[in-house]
Amino acid sequence: MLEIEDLKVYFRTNAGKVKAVDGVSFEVKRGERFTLIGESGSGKSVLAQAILRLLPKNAEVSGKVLFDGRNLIELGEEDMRKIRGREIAWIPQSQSSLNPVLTVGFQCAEPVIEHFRMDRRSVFAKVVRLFEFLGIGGNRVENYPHQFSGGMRQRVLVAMGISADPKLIIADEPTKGLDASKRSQIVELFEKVGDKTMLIITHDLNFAENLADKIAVMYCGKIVEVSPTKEFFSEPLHPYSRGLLDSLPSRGLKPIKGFQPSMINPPKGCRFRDRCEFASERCKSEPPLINLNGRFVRCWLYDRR
Amino acid sequence: MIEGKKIRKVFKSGIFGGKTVVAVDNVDITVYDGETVALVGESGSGKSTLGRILLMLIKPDEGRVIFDGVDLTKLKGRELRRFRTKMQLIPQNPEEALDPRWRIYDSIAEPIRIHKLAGSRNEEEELILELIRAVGLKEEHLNRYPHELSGGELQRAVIARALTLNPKFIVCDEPTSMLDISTQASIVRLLVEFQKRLGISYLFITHDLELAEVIADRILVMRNGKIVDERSLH
Ligand SMILES: Nc1ncnc2c1ncn2[C@@H]1O[C@H](COP(=O)(O)OP(=O)(O)O)[C@@H](O)[C@H]1O
Ligand SMILES: Nc1ncnc2c1ncn2[C@@H]1O[C@H](COP(=O)(O)OP(=O)(O)O)[C@@H](O)[C@H]1O
Ligand code: SF4
Ligand SMILES: [Mg+2]
Ligand SMILES: [Mg+2]
Repeated sequence: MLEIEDLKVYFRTNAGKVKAVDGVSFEVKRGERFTLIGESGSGKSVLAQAILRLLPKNAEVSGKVLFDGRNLIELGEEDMRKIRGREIAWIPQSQSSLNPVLTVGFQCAEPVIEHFRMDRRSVFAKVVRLFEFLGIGGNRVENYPHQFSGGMRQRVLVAMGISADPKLIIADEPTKGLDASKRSQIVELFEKVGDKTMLIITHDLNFAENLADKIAVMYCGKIVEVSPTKEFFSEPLHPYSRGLLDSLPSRGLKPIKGFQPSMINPPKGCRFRDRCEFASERCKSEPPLINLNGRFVRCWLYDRR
Repeated sequence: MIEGKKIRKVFKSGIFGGKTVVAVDNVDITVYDGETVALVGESGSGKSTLGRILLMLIKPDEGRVIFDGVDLTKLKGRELRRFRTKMQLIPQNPEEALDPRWRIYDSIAEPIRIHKLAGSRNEEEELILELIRAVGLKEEHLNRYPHELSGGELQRAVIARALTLNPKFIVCDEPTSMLDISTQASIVRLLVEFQKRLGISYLFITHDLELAEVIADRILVMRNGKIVDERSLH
């Protein structure tokens, strides 16, 4: 359904080129819930924005984003607008993307009206049903964003994303800043949405464990591991993945030593080298992405040649 | 030791102050020297309000705040300020503690200047360098503005600033909830290390029960302005 091939996004800045996404490849299969995790600043949001072509002008993009066979990188803005909202839903990180002066019902109905030319009445009936279904309450379609709590606004964003019945949902940090009980409600909410294909960005590992079929780990602009969720949590492959799991309170709260490297001048070879306890001489050259029985890891430790 | 006795705070909101919210409802709370007490509860349950009342940043409607036997609610002006230096806040958003228009150096230097802790510029600089090394920042960070630091670096700067006056009691108000788990782990480790070294006591506000269980000696659960449960851990 979604195939990313050697995607690169570089930003031109005064300080130099920020290599925010640097040679990323992965595939999201139909019906799969694919989750992208990693520290903030590792390039997750930029990757999602590149797929949807929402990047600012100072971004240089190369590589392929194949969505049902079409390369989105090459589509014109007109075609892209049809895909956004109708075929691919975007649930952004910031709740400020809700318009404060329009009712939430109208904002959910808008993409449907725009893409399907349905009459307003039946669209609004559909939105009311959707609000009921997601536990927002059908009677709240006439309310404005400020009349909702943080958790409810997050639901409204989900409703807005799925109202036009898209093929693929991309959500950016849907649990950020919410407390534990609200977070578990968001898991339930995504469960309810059903067997849709999803690309979910988060650094909330509990959320990922509860929801994802597959986990991809991003570090400094590169994907360093892709594993099925169960295997990832029981036996993470990449040293960085292990470090992330060990920093969970329930697993000892052990920090990863050192700091994230610069994205303008990333370290040569493996980008995790300065922080890795297994680093050796060969890590000074770029490790390949190694296939281990269907799991993928970018680390020399797994090289059996 | 810090004690809150029968603390109550009601907020009025709405255009004519028509709606009232009982944010803190008749709460008794004690944090002993060197202890970490975690305060957990859903958002809106009154945790931040209670924490700020203990620091005397918000005036309670009723009740008393007693610090080492002195009733702070009876103090004013210079006397209260003297106690304020012993109590600090590490907020969820570093922006709340650091002025966005100031370089990190000046933000950390401010309390040192106000309380005249350094005899000269050189002495001030030495103090600040010692502090930022202790929290894991580098000299190069001092010349930057807040927006030029990452979330984890900012929170380290806030901790450095909070430590300048040798506090005895710190309220940490969800200090890591906007950070990555790996950054969270390093910040929490840092706070624990200072506690061991300096004997500080913490009221650690969080909505993460797992985190509370790892770091706290005691957990208090807050709901609708009241403390509804208490658990000792060690
Ligand atoms: N418009 C931009 N111009 C320059 N750099 C940017 C821009 N947008 C993002 N970046 C940089 O790209 C990197 C990746 O950012 P982002 O994808 O937002 O990280 P994440 O979502 O993983 O936290 C960061 O170093 C960020 O500073
Ligand atoms: N300055 C204020 N004015 C009006 N209401 C407030 C104010 N500060 C807090 N409240 C209300 O008091 C209650 C408790 O808030 P708070 O202490 O921030 O809770 P928590 O930190 O547990 O999320 C909430 O209902 C909140 O809306
Ligand atoms: S390639 Fe080398 S430095 Fe990189 S993660 Fe693997 S062992 Fe560590
Ligand atoms: Mg992001
Ligand atoms: Mg609070």
